[in-house]
Amino acid sequence: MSQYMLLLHQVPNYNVDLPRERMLEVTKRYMAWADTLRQKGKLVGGEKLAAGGVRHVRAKDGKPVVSDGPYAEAKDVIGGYFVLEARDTAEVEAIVQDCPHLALAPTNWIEIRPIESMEDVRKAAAAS
Amino acid sequence: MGVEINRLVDSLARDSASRLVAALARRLGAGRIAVAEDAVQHALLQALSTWPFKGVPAKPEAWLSVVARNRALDLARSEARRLLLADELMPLANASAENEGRFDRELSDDELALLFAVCHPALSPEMRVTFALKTVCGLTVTQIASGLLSEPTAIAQRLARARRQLAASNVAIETPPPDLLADRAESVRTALYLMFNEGYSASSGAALVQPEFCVEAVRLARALAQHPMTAGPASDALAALLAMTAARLPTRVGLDGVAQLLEDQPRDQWDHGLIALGLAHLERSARGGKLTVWHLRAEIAALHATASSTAQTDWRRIAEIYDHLSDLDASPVVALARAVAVGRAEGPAAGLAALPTIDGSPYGEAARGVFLTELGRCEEARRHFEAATALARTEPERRLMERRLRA
Repeated sequence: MSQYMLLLHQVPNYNVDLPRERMLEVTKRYMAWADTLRQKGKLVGGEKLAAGGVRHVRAKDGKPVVSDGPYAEAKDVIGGYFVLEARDTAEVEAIVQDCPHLALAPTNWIEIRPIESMEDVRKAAAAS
Repeated sequence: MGVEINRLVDSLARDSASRLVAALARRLGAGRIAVAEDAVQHALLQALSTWPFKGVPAKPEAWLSVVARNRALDLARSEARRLLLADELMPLANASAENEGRFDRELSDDELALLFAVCHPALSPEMRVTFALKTVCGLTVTQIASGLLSEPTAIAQRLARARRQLAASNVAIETPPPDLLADRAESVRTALYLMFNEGYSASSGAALVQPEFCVEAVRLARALAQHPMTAGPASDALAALLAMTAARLPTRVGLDGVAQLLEDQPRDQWDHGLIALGLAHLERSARGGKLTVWHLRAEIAALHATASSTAQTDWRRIAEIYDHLSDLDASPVVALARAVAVGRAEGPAAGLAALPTIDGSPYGEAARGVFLTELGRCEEARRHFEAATALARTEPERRLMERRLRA
């Protein structure tokens, strides 16, 4: 078993005006989707990320400089993430197929990132 | 699990949300109903978007109420800073959760108070309906606009006007004093009846029915009949009328999108649960001595709902009830319905004689066309069907009239 992170990409504020019925319908599916994974023990964790209070910290001339994240104007932000446990990427792809994040807005998309496991690192080290 | 989630979300979005709006609005005052609505909407959005990640909290409705109250406090504080009214917000901060988190479909005292406020006689009937749909039923401006075939901006303006008017007339969000209760309750019943009608035969647009409006009107009418303060024969009669009419919603428009006449509706598809509910209310409504318009209309609805076909319907009795009704409500709509019943009971000539002249009503023209056809005066009938088609306000209606024209 390996762990995977689902990064939930979206255009900020895109679905703020989603009609209420649609919002409720997608939410129901979203909760059911997450609950099923939780019951199967596949959902390790996840968080919804707040839209405000974003700071970017970059080194400038060797010194960290903090700036406000230009989130309202950004074209693509990460609205949240899930950590899943699965056999392989193919299983994660299958799970993501009906993730309601995709239904919330046509511009939403999901990035699947395998989490580097210590097991892999150890094997790789042993093999080298 | 899926079913539970569906129920939970629906119940939060409708019942808990409207109760919370009412509880907050009551404490904030009529001038800040919008603050209460925004706060609850915000809490709902927050809850719904967070729960897939963390699961549903143990007490979702309490969670919602805390978030909504904090938000309302924030919104009200920033407003209060401008208005220097911070003191009056104290009761909100200390408010107990007495009414929050109840899941049954009854009206809380707060909700009833809010319903009385938004149906205040100071507001025009159309304002009352719009305001109630928004504030008590929690429908969105977009939904209301599409139901009333208006622009969202126009609806938003109407709501803002209504709020200003309430604030200007110093209307408190509270149940009316005993001496005003009867009048004010009647004003609420009238608003619910209009809300239902707007859903049952939309005055314009692509769809003939807006089931959401009907469902809300039935729910509120039933709640009115159950709340100790507004319970009574008139409220029961209204609940009976709306429930039994709503029972026919599934067959109002045929599968082909054409409006269906009562005689063409497959009655086995009527909602028999709603009919039973309506009959129970009707029975309870008979307790009082006073016969209201709601009683008369409910009895007509019951005669339709319990007849096995149009041919088996007691049209003579219906015509009699319409006689009564036109004494209390001299509107052309009642006169038209009465003429149709007379025509069914005594034949097309009597129906034709009873028909009122209503300008601009597609149903008036169509009824005339039907009676004339039955009398063999097809050429004249045709003219009236043509007029009806031109006057039709919704697409399903227009197609029904066209079909008549071809027949």
